[in-house]
Amino acid sequence: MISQPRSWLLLTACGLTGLAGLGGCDESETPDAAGVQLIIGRTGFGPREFSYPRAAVLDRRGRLYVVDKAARIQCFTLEGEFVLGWRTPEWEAGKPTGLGVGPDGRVYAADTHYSRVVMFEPDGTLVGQFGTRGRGPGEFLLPTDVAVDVEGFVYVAEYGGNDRVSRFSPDLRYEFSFGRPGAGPGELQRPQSLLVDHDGTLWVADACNHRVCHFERDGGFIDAFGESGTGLGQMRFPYGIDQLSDGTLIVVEYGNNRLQRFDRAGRSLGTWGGPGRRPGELAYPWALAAGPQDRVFVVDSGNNRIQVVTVFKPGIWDTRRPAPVLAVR
Amino acid sequence: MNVLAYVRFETPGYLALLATIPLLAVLSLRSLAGLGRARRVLAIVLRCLVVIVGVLALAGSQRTRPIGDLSVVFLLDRSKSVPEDLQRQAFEYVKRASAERGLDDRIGLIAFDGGADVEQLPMAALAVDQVSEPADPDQTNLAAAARMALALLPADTVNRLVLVTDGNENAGDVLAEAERLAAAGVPIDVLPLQYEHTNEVLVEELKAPPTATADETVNLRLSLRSQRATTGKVLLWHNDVLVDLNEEQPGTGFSVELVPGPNPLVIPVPLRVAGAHRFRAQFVPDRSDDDAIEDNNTGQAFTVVTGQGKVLILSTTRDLEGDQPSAEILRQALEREKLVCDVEVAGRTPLDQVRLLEYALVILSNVPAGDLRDDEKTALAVYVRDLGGGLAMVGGDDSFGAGGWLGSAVEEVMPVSFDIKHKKQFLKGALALVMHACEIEKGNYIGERCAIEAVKTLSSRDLVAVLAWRWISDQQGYFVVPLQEVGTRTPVINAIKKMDMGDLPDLDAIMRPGVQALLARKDVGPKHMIVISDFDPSPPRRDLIATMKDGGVTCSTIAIGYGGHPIDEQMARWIAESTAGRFYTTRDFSKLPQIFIKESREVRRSLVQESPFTPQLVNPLSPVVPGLAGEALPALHGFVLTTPKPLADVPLIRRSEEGDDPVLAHWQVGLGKTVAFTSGLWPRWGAEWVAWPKFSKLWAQAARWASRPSEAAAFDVTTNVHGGKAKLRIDALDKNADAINFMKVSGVLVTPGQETRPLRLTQTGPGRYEAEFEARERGNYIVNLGYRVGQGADAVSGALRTGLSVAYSPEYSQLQPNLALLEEVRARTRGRTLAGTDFAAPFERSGLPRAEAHRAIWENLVQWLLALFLLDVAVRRVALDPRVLYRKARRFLAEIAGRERPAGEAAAVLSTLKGARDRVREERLAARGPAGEPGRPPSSARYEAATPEAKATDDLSRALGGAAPDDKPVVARPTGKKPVQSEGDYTARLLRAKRRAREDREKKDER
Repeated sequence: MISQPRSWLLLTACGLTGLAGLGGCDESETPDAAGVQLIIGRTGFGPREFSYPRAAVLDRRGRLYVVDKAARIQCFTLEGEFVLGWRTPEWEAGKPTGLGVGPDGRVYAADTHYSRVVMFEPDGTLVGQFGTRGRGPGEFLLPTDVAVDVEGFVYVAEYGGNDRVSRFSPDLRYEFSFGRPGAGPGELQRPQSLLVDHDGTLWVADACNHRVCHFERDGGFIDAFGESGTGLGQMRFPYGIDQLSDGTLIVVEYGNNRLQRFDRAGRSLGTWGGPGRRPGELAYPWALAAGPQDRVFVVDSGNNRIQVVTVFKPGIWDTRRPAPVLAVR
Repeated sequence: MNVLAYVRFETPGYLALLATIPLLAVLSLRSLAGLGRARRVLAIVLRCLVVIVGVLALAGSQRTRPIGDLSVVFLLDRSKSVPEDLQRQAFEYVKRASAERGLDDRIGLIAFDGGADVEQLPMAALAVDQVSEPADPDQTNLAAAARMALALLPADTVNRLVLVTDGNENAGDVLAEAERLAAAGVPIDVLPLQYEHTNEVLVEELKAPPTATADETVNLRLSLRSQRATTGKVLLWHNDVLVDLNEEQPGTGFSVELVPGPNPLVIPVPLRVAGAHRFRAQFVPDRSDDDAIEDNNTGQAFTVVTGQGKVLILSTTRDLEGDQPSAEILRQALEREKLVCDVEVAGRTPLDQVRLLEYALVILSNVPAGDLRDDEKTALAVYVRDLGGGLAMVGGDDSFGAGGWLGSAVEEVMPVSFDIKHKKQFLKGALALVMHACEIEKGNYIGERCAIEAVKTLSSRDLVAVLAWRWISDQQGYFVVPLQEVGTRTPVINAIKKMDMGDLPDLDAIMRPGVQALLARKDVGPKHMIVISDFDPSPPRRDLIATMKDGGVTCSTIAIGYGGHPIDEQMARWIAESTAGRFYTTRDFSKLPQIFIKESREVRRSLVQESPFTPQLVNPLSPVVPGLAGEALPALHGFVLTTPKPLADVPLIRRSEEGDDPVLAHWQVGLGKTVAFTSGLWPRWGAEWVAWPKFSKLWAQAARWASRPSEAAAFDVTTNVHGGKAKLRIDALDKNADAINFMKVSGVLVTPGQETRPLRLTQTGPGRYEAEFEARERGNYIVNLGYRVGQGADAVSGALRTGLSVAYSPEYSQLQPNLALLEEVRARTRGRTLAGTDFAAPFERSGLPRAEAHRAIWENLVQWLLALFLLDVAVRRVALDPRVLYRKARRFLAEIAGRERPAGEAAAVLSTLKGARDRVREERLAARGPAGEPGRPPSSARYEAATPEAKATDDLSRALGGAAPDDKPVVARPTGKKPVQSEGDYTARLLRAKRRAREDREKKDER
């Protein structure tokens, strides 16, 4: 990096001679160029460090919770300052892959390999857990995500043979479930992320069917959009979904290493990102969380960081049909 | 502030150029004489600055910054010599020391034994709860740990290593690494782990004579060392059978009373048969409190009894449990010809060199490659090539290429290659590997090894594809290796080595393109897929499984788990069973390559040719088939396709339109001989052969030809091992008991890891020859030597085999720490010796060298240089008169103010200017001299324009609105005087000349 006075001097020199490109004049790409406002974290096991983060959720107070593959849940402010962190009760068999937060601020973790949901107070105190391994009502195989609606109803998605969404009452009594393994209407193949819409309906990132499904609160199937591919409107393994203030949906694609924005009818409004290590690029992204002022917190798992994107910055959405990437960068 | 403390130079030699500055200043004073005083000073200063900055850039200036942050990397010894509770305390120490670190300090952790593992890179907090399991606890390699630490140390902090160990090094050389760390300015603090075993009994040595003759009774010498008086029993195993040492008393061992210090014991053992005799002695204390370390209670030794060796026939359970085992048919045939045979299931008892020494020939009777471990295959190859043993492979549907032997060490020594390159009738197979092993420890490495092993067993014409979840964006990208011919293997293996297995979300996504690729090839016979995964991705869809079933794609699944991570065996089993594949599950990752070898055999089935044919004898002179000339050979009903190697002798072939295929081939390779018989599988492939009277004669002849010749024990050989060094001594006496001198003795040493090293003995006394070699590894060391005495026709040569055993790692012979070594390490690196209670010490700054970070600034200097240079030019070329500037500024301000200049003021200005003009004229006249002769003008030119002052006056008066005193145009007139040029005139002339030239050219163009 060229320090400020040096750059100034150099620019003066360039101006004097009228010669462009005397070296050092090319401006390096700043994070802001792709709408990345902030990058939180780096590789490691300390505070504000991640080892393959896989889920994130924002609460109403503006606290961001992130869980990584070291089974650590870390809490940050919206500006990325570390607040506190804790570990899930057990992690030998596997680590959580989904987080949800209730209207009361309670944090729910989909403890995937323990076939259960564990709950914490915002200060990290373990409150309890529910669910056991099985295929029966209220049981789970591999739970992936938890979403809680404004009334406190808890929705849990799972895969591994069940591939469904189960609903629990605010006092955590099992109510019903919907979806079954398959690619037909109302069927799911690894529902990886849940979103309760502003209107109370439910959106599901149906990862292995490469689509997004829309359900009523009672589990009634409304519609689905998306197909496998790299083009606009196509998806590869959508792993995370959230909603922006204008009602549009934003999806993170694990397979395409990008974000894609859709209107509620499923029309693509553009893509953002691509495989890479630089700001504005993603590696195996697992999740996202939309925050105030339409800042989206993207869990850039393979890069061990959270990228905060101001999604309404003009010009950052690519609405062209992207050419397939043939080589790994 | 001392500036020099913040700057340093990469090539300070260039600074000498600064000496030119005074010279430059003096020269500039003269050359810039035409400038005004102020400009001249400024120009010289700038010029000097240009040179100074240029020299500083050339000298490679770097800005230095003192470093305050500290990284401490702890090196924890987890080898067996350190008692476990002490290892726990050591880790506790690290945890408590970590709590004492500063805010920006970093902590790293390396655990080491025979190798070093990074537990944590230098980071802001200690994140590991425990040290990982030892990988090679039988050794202590301090050097490996130090080397690894040096590689981890960050460049932007001050660094320190803390070595927590007992210092009992038995591999590597830590002092050499210490020198390197000292050079890098990294101190090693040592925290010695103190212990002392006061109640310990250890077997120092079990010695057996390296060679003996049959029916000789040898004396085993057992040396026990005890720390105090104690009692116990000694047990002895002879070829893994417990020997009753004390027949009068009940039980098998005999009681001993040990005194403090060494306790020698002699145990006589009669040896009856030829071959290798292995002994293992163990001491069992009567009270377990009397012995702290159990691992050092055994001793091992072996004696080679020369004589006619036996034949070992290796077979499979499938064959031996059948009605008519092929191996039994072969054994009976050989025994009819007075050969002694053992028949065993391959892989049941491990094959090592000592065991192989018992045998003169090993026959692999339809044994698949997967039944033997890699090291056993290597042992067989070494046994043949370096130790002169014999090896025969007899065919069947699990042998040669069809048995997965392609690319193995055994193939290298066989007279035929198992690969088929130019056969039309050969139907190639296709194998697709679906790799998802990233989540297990060292998963990428293990996955890579498995895939490479599988590829190695394929023929060059087979097809292979490797699929893994990758960081790309289209389906084609799942192929690490697109379905292609194996070819030379190198490109495929290179591609596999670059494989980076990602976390796979969906098995279907990656299996589907693999299946599609397999089905697209119509020219392929067997189509097989191997899937390795923990099966937590989504399962393949039912339609894909149905497509595989219809298309004849078989699929085997290998479910792997780690730690407590669950495996979805149900899914793996379902895929395998639905597609007629096999299902495996294991948490022992060392078995994975064998599973891959076994599975990839599936595509090699087409190498087996099952149709009747009559073999043709093409070389009756072969030593393996004497007396078969003119004999009608019985028919065979099947064989395995192979390709003969260029130097092999191939007496029997199958002749067909496609060409000749070897049935029997043999050759000498290294010191040994090998035979390949590509048919076999009796009686299925040749009932007529078994019934043929010459069957046993042919086999006995082949066995005798390939068997290692027996040799007499010629010399007295002694071996001993101490402190990781083994010594081999030969006392060579002739029949008159005179020393044999000037003998050449050399050969190979085979280590327990099947590595072969050349060994040369040197004469150290009359008839005495000695060699020394490293023997730190546990196991048997075999030495195969050839000797040659005399010259020309009188020369006598022979061979001899001997060896020694290392029963346990030197780790277990250490009863106290090696403080002297630790002190030396500390002293060489200027470290400290820490106490186990001083937790703050590792992160203290004291004793650390001053560290600096350096940043090159020459690029910035070049920018400065450019700017200064431009300024320098500007000062010399652009003349700015401050008075004119002042007036212009005033005029500008006046215009802004819109103020009318009073006429009086303008007149005053004009009169001043006129005065100036008159003054100049007078001066000029005065310069021409009183006689009016032309003198030397102060600033003359060939063309004299109106004087600048006058011009300025005209311009100004016009500009100020006053009338010009003389409105005539200014005309240049020639003066005819020789010019003295100023630089400004010179530039003006150049410009005019240029203009003129352009005008001339334009005129010319018009014409």
